[in-house]
Amino acid sequence: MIEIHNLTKDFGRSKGVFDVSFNIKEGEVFGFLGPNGAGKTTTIRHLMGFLNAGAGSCSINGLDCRKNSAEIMKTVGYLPGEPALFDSMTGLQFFNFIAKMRQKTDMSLCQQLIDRFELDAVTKIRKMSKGMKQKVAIVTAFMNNPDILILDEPTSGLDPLMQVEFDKMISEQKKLGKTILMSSHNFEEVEKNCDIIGIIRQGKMVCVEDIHSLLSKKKKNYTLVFASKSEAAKFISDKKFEIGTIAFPSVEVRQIDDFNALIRELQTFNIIEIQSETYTLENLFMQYYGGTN
Amino acid sequence: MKLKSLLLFDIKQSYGIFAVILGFMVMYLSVIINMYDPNGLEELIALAKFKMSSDMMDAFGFNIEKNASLISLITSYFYGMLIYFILIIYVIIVGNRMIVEHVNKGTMGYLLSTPHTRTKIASFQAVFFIVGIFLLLFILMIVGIIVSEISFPGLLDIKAFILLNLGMFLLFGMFSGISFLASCSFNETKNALAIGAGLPLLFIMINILSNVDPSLNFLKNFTIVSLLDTDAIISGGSFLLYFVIMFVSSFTLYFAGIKIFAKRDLSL
Repeated sequence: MIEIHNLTKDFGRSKGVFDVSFNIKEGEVFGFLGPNGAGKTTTIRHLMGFLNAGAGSCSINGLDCRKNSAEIMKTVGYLPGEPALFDSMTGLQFFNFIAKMRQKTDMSLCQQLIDRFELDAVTKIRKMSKGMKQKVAIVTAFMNNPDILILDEPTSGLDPLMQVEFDKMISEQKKLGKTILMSSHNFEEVEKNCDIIGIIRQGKMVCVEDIHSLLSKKKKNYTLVFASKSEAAKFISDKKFEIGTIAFPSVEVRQIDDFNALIRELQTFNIIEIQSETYTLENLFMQYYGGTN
Repeated sequence: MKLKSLLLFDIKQSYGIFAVILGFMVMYLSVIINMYDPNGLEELIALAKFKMSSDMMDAFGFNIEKNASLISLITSYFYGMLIYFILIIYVIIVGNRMIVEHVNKGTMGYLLSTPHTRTKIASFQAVFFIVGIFLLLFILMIVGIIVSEISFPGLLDIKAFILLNLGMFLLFGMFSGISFLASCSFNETKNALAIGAGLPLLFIMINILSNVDPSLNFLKNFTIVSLLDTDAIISGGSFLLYFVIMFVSSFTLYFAGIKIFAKRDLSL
């Protein structure tokens, strides 16, 4: 549904995006991760038709994002990274303005969203706080029930309660079969909501993978707590596993791909406790970004 | 109309400046018409000379014969220079709002996230801009005719006055075309203003300088203001070719603006 092929846009000084490719199929939720300035928003700007691709192409529903953007926008809900709203309007005026521009004037969903996010929509946007403006942007993106959602850091500025509400809404949208691309800095949010993640670094995609297989196939680390220091010392001297930090009687073993082998080995030892280090997206992310930026 | 809500936004944003500019123009024109004396303009000329040096009077286009007609007075005292400075303010402010302000602020991102092409949005804004200028001059013209007929029935050469306003509209078609082209071409307001306001003001200043002294008369060749030959219009001379040139230039400037906006990278 959303296809990006070898997209390149060079802004000079190694800024931009280089040879970016990924596909998002109908009904998939794509989590777009990367540090600030890595090229997430630049990629999204291409999808919105704001930029001409230097090389490569991007399309939505088979339509070229630059040439057919007006047609594409009939089915897209967009939430900009830094929403620039018409700040002389009130929230409600802005929703009506955009709805009329889209020629979709059924405002019932809009009203539901206003209630859901507890938005005070009669305040002038100029006088709203950052979080309030973000709510206005969220309502605008969702209010016309679009098939495709392009969300650039949708929860930035939201309080934790509203973040939970937003996550709920994403999973509802997912059930409705919506295709969603969302960039984020919030790993938990991406882990919870997304099927596929793409990690971009310095304008290049370093990883596009199914999030579940990605997390499950990763080697894991465990911390073993032995009954005595001598047991721990014996385990270490056997050198059968890669040893991490040692804090007698605790020993960390790393990069375990066969958990059963570890269990069998431990049968001869007197073990008090095994702690597994949960492998989160955050760990994975740090692994990709570790070292030089 | 598909873009009715954008029209309402534009109107809401600019009716204030429209009213102020129209008010100034109507006031000045009415005052100047009532300065006319069918029996001779000696008093007016003497008063003007008392207030300012002859260089200044030349610069401001206040050069007029004692037994000049009403249309000559209006042309010399209002359409010669004052109107440029009033109407150009509208052109600069509204031209800037049409495109570049939306790009600079980022609100263009929302306009373009609706199912309308860039060409459609820019064309719509262009029409709004030029229609506003047309209305300003049209209302001014009607008021001018009414005030003249009330104060000096039958003395105004109405045909020449209409042509004068048409010429002014075509000249401002070019000024606004420059402003619109700049508005479409830049991501930042300050850059668009440098060209979109700077160039028209430069042309107007050159026109003033060229009037100050006969030795500076050659400067007339470097300003588009010269395309509006008011003397030819009043005296029934040939001005049609210039009108065509102004029309084609205006159209080209607007067209180029729309094309550039439709093609370029936007910093949204």
